Amino acid sequence: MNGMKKWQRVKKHFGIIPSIVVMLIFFWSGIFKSFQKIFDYKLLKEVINKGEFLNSLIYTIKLSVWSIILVGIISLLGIFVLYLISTEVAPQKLNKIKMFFLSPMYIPYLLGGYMISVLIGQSGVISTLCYRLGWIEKMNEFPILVSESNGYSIIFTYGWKASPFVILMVYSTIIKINNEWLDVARVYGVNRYHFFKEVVFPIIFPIYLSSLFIVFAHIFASFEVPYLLGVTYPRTLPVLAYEKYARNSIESRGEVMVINSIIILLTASVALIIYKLNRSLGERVELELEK
Amino acid sequence: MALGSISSGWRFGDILPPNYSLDGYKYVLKNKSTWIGMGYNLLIAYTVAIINLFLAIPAARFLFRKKSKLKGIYMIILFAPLIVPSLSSVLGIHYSMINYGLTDNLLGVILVNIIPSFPYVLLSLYGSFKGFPQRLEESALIDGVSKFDMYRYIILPILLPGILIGSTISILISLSEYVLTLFIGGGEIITMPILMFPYLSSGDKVVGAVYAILFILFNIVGILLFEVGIKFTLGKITKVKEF
Repeated sequence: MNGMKKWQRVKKHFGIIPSIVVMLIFFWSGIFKSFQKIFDYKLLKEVINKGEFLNSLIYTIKLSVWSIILVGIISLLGIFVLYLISTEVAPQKLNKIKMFFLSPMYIPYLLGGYMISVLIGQSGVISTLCYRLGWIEKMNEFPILVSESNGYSIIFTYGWKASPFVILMVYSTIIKINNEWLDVARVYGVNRYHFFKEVVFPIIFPIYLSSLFIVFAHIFASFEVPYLLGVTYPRTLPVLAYEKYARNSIESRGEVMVINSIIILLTASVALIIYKLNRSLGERVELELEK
Repeated sequence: MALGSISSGWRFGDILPPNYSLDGYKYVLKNKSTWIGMGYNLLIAYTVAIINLFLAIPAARFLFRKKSKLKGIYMIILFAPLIVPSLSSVLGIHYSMINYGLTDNLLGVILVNIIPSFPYVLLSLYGSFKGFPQRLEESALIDGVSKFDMYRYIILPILLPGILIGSTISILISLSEYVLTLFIGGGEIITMPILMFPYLSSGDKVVGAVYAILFILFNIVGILLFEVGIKFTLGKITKVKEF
């Protein structure tokens, strides 16, 4: 009987075991393999002393921070507009408007980066407009925004591409907020802007913040856009790791693994922050909404 | 961009291109590797989506229904690729993949493409379990329906929206996956993003734009085809026989 019970307990897990196995083999083993090297103190010191690494680290952090600031502003504006519309428009129409707001999400990052480079490049669309309007006389009077060391084009790409994700995450909370609340508030003479600031914003804030953290981790670890639009120096950490590995895999393997595990550690700590945020603030929101 | 794709000799300062031509399209479409790229792209994306669904449906059901002490750990194991970059992990296992002969071939590329997309599929399926009464499953089991039939006639039809969303995301991710495919495929497996990359990166206004537009259309068609296919298959599978 006891054996039967144990079997039952094991059997319960059958549904999840295949996916766990796949993830352990193809994802986690790679993570752990990378981590083996970070305990090699000498190697770690060597990598950090190389300058190239620290440069890349600072550059990556700088890019990510500027990007999420931009994403934060754009997405908050988007949320606000979407909210204003949601108080007036029928749900059916609202869905279409939502789709419009989310449309950049469906464009791959590679194309997103390309579009930005066509838009703001020296021979790009905006530059052409400026020329036509007589603001600049020659092509090279337009500031260099693509393939330069400050990564403007990368930041713009993320600002444009990642904001819809934040809007999407927040939107699912916004639609739960009862419109009747607004009616009640109106009775007391509160207008929509005030209602947004005092009621809606505090409710969406935790999810807004945690999606910004997700975006931060994503940008920090992303490869495609900086590889597409960046310059050879400075490079972001993921690009540095990949290029080092792809060029001379065996010699610099240890070095790459160290860089790798630092990327993993940083993103994992961001994940921890998100988790804590969701736990503490998210639960409060759930309670609020379930009342 | 759309204009760029059909222009020729578009110089700086012109709002509209001076001449139009389809040379860009001719160049891209005549190129045999474009078609090979699309083929590989679809093959990889569809296989990955199907594997993801098979893995994620039971897993989502477990996470939503069952109580277990290990659930927290399972969640971390399964959802980690949402945050932790898959490139880092693949760089880590590349060496072992060479040893097992999983590089420079389709199988390896398919396997690594599962990593970034699986959590999203799981997430969307998990979402659609909400509001799905457990009693329905229980009563079916009490009535002596086999587990297989329960999946077939009860879970699959109810999960259909989640399945569609999940597979769409999965296909979107694997169609535009660049670095994992390049890295593990080792140049043997050519996909659209790999073909486009040099043109996009150099800011090529004609060929780059042609590729970009083709790729967007290709994405839409690829997803629609899969959705129609999956609706049709599920309709067939889950149709209850009339007694």
